[in-house]
Amino acid sequence: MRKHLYEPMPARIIEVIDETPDVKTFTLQVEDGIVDYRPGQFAEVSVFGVGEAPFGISSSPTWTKRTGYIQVTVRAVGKVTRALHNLKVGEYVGVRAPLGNGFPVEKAEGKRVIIVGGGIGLPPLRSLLNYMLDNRERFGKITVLYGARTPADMVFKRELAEWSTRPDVEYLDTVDIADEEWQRLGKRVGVVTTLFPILDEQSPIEPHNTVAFICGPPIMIHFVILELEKRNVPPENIISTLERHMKCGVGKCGHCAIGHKYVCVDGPVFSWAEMKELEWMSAEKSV
Amino acid sequence: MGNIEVGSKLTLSKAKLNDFLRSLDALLAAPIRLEHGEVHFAINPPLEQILRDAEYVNSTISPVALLFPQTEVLFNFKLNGKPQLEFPPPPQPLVIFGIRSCDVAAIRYLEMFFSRNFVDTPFCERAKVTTLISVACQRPSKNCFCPCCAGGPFLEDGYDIQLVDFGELFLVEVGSEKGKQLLSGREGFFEPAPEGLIERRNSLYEETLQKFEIASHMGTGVRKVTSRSVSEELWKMMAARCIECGGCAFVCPLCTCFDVVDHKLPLHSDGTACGWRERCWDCCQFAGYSMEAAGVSPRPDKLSRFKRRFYHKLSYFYMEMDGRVGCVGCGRCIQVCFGVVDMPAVVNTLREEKVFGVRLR
Repeated sequence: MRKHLYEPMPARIIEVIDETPDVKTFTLQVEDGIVDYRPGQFAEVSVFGVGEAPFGISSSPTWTKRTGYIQVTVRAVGKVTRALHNLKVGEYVGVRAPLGNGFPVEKAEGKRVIIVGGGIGLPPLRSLLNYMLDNRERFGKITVLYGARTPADMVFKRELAEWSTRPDVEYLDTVDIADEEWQRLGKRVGVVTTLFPILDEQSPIEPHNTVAFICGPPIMIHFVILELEKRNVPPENIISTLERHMKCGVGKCGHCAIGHKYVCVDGPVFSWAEMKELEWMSAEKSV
Repeated sequence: MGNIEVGSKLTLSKAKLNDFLRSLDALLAAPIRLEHGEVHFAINPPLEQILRDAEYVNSTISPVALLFPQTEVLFNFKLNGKPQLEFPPPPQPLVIFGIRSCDVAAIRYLEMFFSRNFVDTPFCERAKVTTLISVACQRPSKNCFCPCCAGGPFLEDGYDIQLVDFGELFLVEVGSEKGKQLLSGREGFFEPAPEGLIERRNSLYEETLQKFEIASHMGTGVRKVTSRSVSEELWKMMAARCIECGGCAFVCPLCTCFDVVDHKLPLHSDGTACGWRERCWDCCQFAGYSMEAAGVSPRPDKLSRFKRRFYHKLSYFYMEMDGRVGCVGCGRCIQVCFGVVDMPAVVNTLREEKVFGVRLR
């Protein structure tokens, strides 16, 4: 137990994996270890002297149990993330984790699972998927839909290839803009929602037996929810994450508040039913 | 004086006050008057400078800042290989003398807020060793409206020790275990309260209530905000008057938002980098407040941020969690707001549905 709420545990960088030109996965050995976490929970990662930022944990709890490590997958967009990208194997960061509520995996037990990821939204879903694959018998058919801007922007390429060949995973992907290789292979082009008509053909959604997990840019989440609603998936079974600047991660600093909810402690995972209620309460929208 | 219990009513002669304060084994924060007349809580001031009657108007900055300071170091770090963190030493026991009822109510709220879900170490450690000796208000300022917000002028609960000023002596009300602890071993300073003093206290309370110049219909504000029955037009007109200075949040004793900043010193010749992480007050009216790394903000315009502030202070959903409306009626936001969109002005605008309404008198 840490003696101070804001105390980051020192964590050594064990491996840095280049995912795309601006995305890296960091494998971290956290001092004192991270006991357990749920897919969808996040970590506050410190680059001392620069700051701290929240990232969804991209490794699965099952993998962490085997290796003792955790992974975060980070796109260089701001001050902390750029500083993180400059760090090398053997250097240290600080970690406060696990934080947030995580995905309600038990809700999906025995059900058809649809995982929809967009670009850099895949990391927490990868945690979820790998957790499910390690507990395969507890879940029904698993479908992964992944969309990225370009083939170069796809993260976890080796695992994508593996998922696409596994008999117990239905995997479909698409890009907004294809490159030559993509075209040569005749792969799909279009936003991620264009994959839903394909599902209707090959494995139609039974709405009440389906739980969907979505993570990606807000605009993508919006349109994916529309597709799922069109297919009558109940709002409680549509699970997504909200992005806010979670500075303290423990419901104190106020930055991530929506309405009277704090994304860092009440989320970041919410069902569509909860998100609709949040929007109703959200001050900026509807007071 | 024999055993002192929670609920005891005593008296303390003002002639003995300095000796009593001197006897405390703690840092003492107490109000003094600064050069230009404003009241300020100083640490261990000369005892003769301490304001000791109910006649001074409350301090410009709330003594809440003694527990939740404007900036504070969370930890120092030393980097050379594995980072080494060093935390500030545990806080010393502190007695805040002369704190007003509204600020006591604010500290009680902060104790609840900072300890729910996760315990905020710096605040809660300080609060744990702090004892409040409040002085019931008999002289509201022209900006005070605590009776509208369960913030005073006298406290019926939530105080450690409440003093009521009767000129030569104080009525001393012991309200908590902490208050009792503070007086234990110091019984010699106190006398049992004489018959009739409690009745005089109660009539003093009634007299004080008559002195308030403004009121704020908080209930109406809560109802309008919670039921979303405020027109967009009204919000826009009020938000237009906000100059985003953040003054309201900085003087508000209930505002808890903070930012976290790292500082790094130039590299030492042996390759060691040192620095510290600190937190400082932040304000939801600032454009950068909810800004995310890529420069996107969920509250990009002043209007949404303005609504955010009053949603937090007034919505029933927050009241349900917090156990009180998000205001103690200290009136400090009135003092600092250039645009006259302070709490009573906004509540009154919500009520009358017109802007530029003169505050309710």
